[in-house]
Amino acid sequence: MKLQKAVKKQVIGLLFASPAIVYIAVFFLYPFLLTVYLSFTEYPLIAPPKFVGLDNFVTIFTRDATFGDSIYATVIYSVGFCLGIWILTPALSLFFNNKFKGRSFYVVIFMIAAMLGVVPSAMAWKVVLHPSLGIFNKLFFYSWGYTGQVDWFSSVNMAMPGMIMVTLASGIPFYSIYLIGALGGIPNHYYEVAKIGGASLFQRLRYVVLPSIKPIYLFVIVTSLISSFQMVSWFFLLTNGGPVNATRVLSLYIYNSAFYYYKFGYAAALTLVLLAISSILCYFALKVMSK
Amino acid sequence: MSPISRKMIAIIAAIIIVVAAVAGAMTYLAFFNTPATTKTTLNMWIHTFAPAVTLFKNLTAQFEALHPDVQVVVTDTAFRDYEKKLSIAFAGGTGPDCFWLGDWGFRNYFDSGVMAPVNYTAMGYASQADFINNRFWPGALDAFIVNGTCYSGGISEYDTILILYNKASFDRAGVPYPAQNVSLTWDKFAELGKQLTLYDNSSKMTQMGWGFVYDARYGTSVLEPLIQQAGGQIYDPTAKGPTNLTAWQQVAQYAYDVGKFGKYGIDDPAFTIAPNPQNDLFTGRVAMAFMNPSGYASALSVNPNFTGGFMPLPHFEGYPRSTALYSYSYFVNNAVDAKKQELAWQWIEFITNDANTLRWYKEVGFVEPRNVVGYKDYLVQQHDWINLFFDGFSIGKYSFRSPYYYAIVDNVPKFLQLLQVANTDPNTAVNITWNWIKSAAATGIG
Repeated sequence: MKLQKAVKKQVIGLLFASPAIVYIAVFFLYPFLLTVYLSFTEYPLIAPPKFVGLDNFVTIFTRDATFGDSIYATVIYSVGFCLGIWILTPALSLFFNNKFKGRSFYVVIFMIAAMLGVVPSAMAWKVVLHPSLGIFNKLFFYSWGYTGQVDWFSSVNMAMPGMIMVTLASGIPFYSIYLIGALGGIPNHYYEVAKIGGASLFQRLRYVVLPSIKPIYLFVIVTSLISSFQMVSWFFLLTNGGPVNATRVLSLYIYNSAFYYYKFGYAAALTLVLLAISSILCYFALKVMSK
Repeated sequence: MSPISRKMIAIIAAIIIVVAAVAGAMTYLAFFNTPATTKTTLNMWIHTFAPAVTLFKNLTAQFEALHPDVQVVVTDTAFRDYEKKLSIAFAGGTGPDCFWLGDWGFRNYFDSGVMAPVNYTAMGYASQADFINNRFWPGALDAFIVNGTCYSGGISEYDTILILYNKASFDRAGVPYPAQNVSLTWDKFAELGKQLTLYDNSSKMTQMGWGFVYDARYGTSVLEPLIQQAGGQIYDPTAKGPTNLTAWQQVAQYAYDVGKFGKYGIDDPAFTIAPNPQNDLFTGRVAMAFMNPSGYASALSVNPNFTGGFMPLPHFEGYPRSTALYSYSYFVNNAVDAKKQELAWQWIEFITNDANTLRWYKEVGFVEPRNVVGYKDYLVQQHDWINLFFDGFSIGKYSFRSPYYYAIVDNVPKFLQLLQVANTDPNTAVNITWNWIKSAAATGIG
């Protein structure tokens, strides 16, 4: 009788959880398993998948001359984006955590970049960063007497810095939402006690603020790291990997492999490689930051 | 909050079941009550080109009048989406019965088993040899013959590449028009381009002499003849990569010289042109551009006041002339049943018969490589420059065949960008591009 009751409870619990289980199974588990299967096939879309074993993986690491370029571009982008998020987000969040006149208004302005969608933002940045007509170059280069040409997205050297800049412009406000919330949750008396105890600004930051926001900050670090590897839409809209593969990050390479060149099997193999790389990096990031 | 009672749950469940059952029954009845059609429907897909769409409507009506038990449905899709839509349709098993395709895409579809071999009997020919040799100009179907079997039912549009120039642009620069039947050397052509480049008082470019094409497809139509003229190949299937490093270095040096860093360089980054500068030619922003035979008709649809002239594609001094050859052809889906395939071949033969060959030029502007009596004379009467295209057809070569065509040619604009945007040393640019092409040939990713 007791057993029957326990089983009944389990079944009822499963039934309540079933919508979520179905959702995860359909939208996450099935695509993942399909990706694993396709990674061992050649699947050009027009013809059915043909099993090729490890051929895709062998090609990635031995015959694909542009895979290395993609890894390089991804590393450069991730380092630039992540460092920007990890340093500038807490700095700006701390700034907006203070009370000053017009704070609410400035926070809203700051958050607009995070609220706008990728497409309108990308189109706006294309105009702002136009080599000769864009306001950015006029304000920061030409008005100071610089006579050269700052090409941004059509320059091999400037395209990636440009991409890092535009994605940080929306990424920093987005992640600030979490940190501003976390900072707001620190009781005021913590600061007062620290002040009374003679702690300097840096000491208050180190011993009061950081430990209090550590869980959220870890979350920001990990999600920004993952996000830097998954960035496709910005690159697709602004550079499509150019010029000359300078901004062809691995996620865009995967997208083009599947939906432009119709190499679904190869794209699946690249996806698993990307998953492995980002998993390893996230593991080490968590291990280091949680100390 | 009061819990939902068992009675209520039962009522809601019963309503859902009843609604689902009714919907299912209605769908079932609708399916089986659809009156059976006695007509055979033949589906054809083409890319959108307004004059062709109009002609197809007319041809469809004529064919249906001759075959009352047949309904022909011609579906057109915007050019840039066409091949994607075609691939997805074939992947889903809903591909059309017959369709247009450019020669560059043939190998990909052929390797996937989509292409049906020509049924020359259904088309009314005694043999394949009769079909190919008697109907078409020499070499016109070469791109579509694999192991001796032809897969093209005929060509809708036969193209080669010449130089079309805007006379108004020449007048503005005070440069006399070039001789129509003289092929300049590439260096002389670049010098001419520099003379035709104009600036205003504030050093802003107002007219560009000419420029390389940064579009992968058209760029290849321009770059491939250059490399072939110098003795090389963009891609040799036997070598699984490009050939003749010296030829590539020669072409790379020339492309570098034409770009903003070189001796013929044109430097005004604010003057942007489209990857394929044809519209800029028609409006006079660009003085000369690479063009196919239907280009003049296109020009007039963009700018009715356009007056221009053609000249042959330039060549490297001391090397044989060569130009690109490309075409759109008719194919039949190998997955449809034999009877429908036969019907499709008959439809293709109808739309490409002698009478309709003339209509394709008169109403659409497409030149077709057919041995129709009086056809060539008729074309020459229409335009004095048509002989240049006949010359181009005779020296032209089809692009390489590979199922990874797009992956390989996507490296062409990157090659030009290395030279003309990134200021890369020509030899280094060649080495990088060769690695990219070999990689693309191995992976199918550009």
